[in-house]
Amino acid sequence: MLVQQLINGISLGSIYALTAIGYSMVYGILELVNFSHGTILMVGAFLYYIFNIILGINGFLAFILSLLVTGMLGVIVEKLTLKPLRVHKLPKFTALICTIGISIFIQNAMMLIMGPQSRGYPMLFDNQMFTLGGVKISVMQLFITSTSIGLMVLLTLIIKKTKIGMAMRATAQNADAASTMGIPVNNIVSLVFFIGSTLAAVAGIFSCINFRKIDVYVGVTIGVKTFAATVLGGIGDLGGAVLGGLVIGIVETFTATYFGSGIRDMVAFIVLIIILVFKPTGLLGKAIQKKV
Amino acid sequence: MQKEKGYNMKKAVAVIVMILFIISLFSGCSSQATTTTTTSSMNTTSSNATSGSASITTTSKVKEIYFAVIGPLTGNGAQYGESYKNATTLKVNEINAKGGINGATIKLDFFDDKNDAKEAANVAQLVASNKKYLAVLGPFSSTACLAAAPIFADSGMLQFIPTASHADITLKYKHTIRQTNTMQVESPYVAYTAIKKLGKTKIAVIYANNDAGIATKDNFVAGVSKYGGEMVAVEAFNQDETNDFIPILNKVLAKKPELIHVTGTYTDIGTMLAQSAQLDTKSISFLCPGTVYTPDFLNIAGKQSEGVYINTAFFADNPDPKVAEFVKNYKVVSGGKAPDMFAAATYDSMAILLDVLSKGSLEISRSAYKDAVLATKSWDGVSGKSTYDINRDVNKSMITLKVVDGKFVVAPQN
Repeated sequence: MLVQQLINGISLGSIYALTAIGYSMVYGILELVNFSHGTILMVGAFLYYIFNIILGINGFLAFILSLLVTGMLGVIVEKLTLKPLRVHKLPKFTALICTIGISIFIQNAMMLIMGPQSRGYPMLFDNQMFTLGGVKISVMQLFITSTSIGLMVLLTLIIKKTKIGMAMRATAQNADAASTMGIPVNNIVSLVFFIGSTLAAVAGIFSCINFRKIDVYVGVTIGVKTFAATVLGGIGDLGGAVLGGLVIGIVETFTATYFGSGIRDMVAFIVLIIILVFKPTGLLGKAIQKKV
Repeated sequence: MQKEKGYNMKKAVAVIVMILFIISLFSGCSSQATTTTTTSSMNTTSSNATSGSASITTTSKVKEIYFAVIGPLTGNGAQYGESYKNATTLKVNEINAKGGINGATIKLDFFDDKNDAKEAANVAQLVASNKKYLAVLGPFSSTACLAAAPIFADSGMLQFIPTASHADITLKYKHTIRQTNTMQVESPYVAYTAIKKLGKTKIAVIYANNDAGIATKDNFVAGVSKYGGEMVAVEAFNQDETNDFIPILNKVLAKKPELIHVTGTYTDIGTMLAQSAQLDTKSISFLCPGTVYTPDFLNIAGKQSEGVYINTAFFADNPDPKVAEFVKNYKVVSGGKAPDMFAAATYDSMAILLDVLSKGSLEISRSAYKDAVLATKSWDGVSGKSTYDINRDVNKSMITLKVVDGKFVVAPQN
């Protein structure tokens, strides 16, 4: 039972981790908490549904297509709404409020198109179960967890080892200085939104496969929890985002099993508060010196 | 310069936040104030109405009668609001097509409570204070009904409740009547179905942690002990927040139940069943309330819906010709969507309202109309035969359905 729940927790946590990376990347570069992230996630999940079920495109092709379209949506949203604010050097909270507005707009637009009801979600492939030392693991769980880990490793490599990654880190440190050094800051920001939105789409599709249903509210719950996960791990730090996601996922699963499902979210947030009391920057976050 | 601008900005934000706080404080007070003023104005209204009705009879004839319908037209219960809208519209269209009631056209106004108690109370204020509405139908959920009922109670208006099944509503509020079985009637019958009809003894219940869910659970647990069953697990989930039902199912399955009674919306139950695919549930029967009697449930639960038992008052393939006609006409209004039990109960509610209206004077006052509707004793509608007790609670006959090959059929155990 214990190991079984640990595995369930990890597979839930790796979905949170994928979403948390998106939050963390945008914050790392723009110092902006992107509240539209959860909604983008929902759109990504719906696109897969639309491509696969309504348009009848083959599963994996639909998967790739929805990632690309969601990534483009992230870029377009950034160009249309956040870039003008950035160019005029408006305060950060303006952009934050703007992301809340975007989120409400997209969610309601999606509700007009798809309606409020829940729908059954298509599986990527047949869900087979196998038993390993008395513990039941589904192929889907394995696929979700390994894809999540793979994407995290790939992303870390890109950021740490490539030239584009270096440009991202430079933009994160000081956008003005980076732009004087010839780094196309706007393109880098677009790229970050593209990657973040793509990851959100992956997380959205996986979580809907995991929960086996989709509705326009799917992003709201996941959005709040992964935001908590991001803060818990240390916002702006990719490793922290992953760790935070896993912690929230495991804590939630264990609480639901051993204490009762009614208090699962409460316990997850209590853990967040306790960690923030003892380590205000999150588990892996470093104290940032504010330029005054 | 830059710095000063930032400082001013902060100051401006602080001022805005303070203004918002102050406004919210005042609005809190004023909404209470409106409650009291509405109450007093309503008292005068009802006396006006009684004295006014005498003068109206001598002057002109009433051309239009308005009813207010409150339901979740948007938000997470919007599909139920749609059922409300379609069912009431269908009934009213049928009546108006025949020339209305004694020459008067019936008009409906729809109000959106977003399936939220606060919104329901706001909307109730709006409806109660508007004299043109003779009576109100709704809201949909028990929680919203409990929020709206005190406001309608003060206004002396009839509140017809098609679908909310919490016992307190009719018990506390004497201006209400309903068209769905309460948990006191339904849940013990579900327990009876599980133990006597299906022959299971080790029973578990998974319920939604809200007004309706808790009442269902309490009455079900009492019913199980009454009929000699054994409760092995009682588990709650938070509606709208829980997406992952695996931990709950794991916990319940560890207690080895023979039958699990699941409450909640069809989305909750469908999701839970779909997720049970990765668990070993072959030897376990699921028994669900009538909420899941909809094709959407089969769509969400998929193969896992096979063999699920459902207790419901409304069954669309009922051989009764008036049910068949209702289903046919409903599909025209709804654009092809088959009616669920909520639509059927709402249709019957509207039918009772209009039936009472057709028997009396059109110049009837709110309170006289209320008393006339509350005196209803029985109704033979599309959602089964209803008989009303002295608490204005309905007792509707129910049947048990089973999902076989992706279709709802009458269970052989009936």
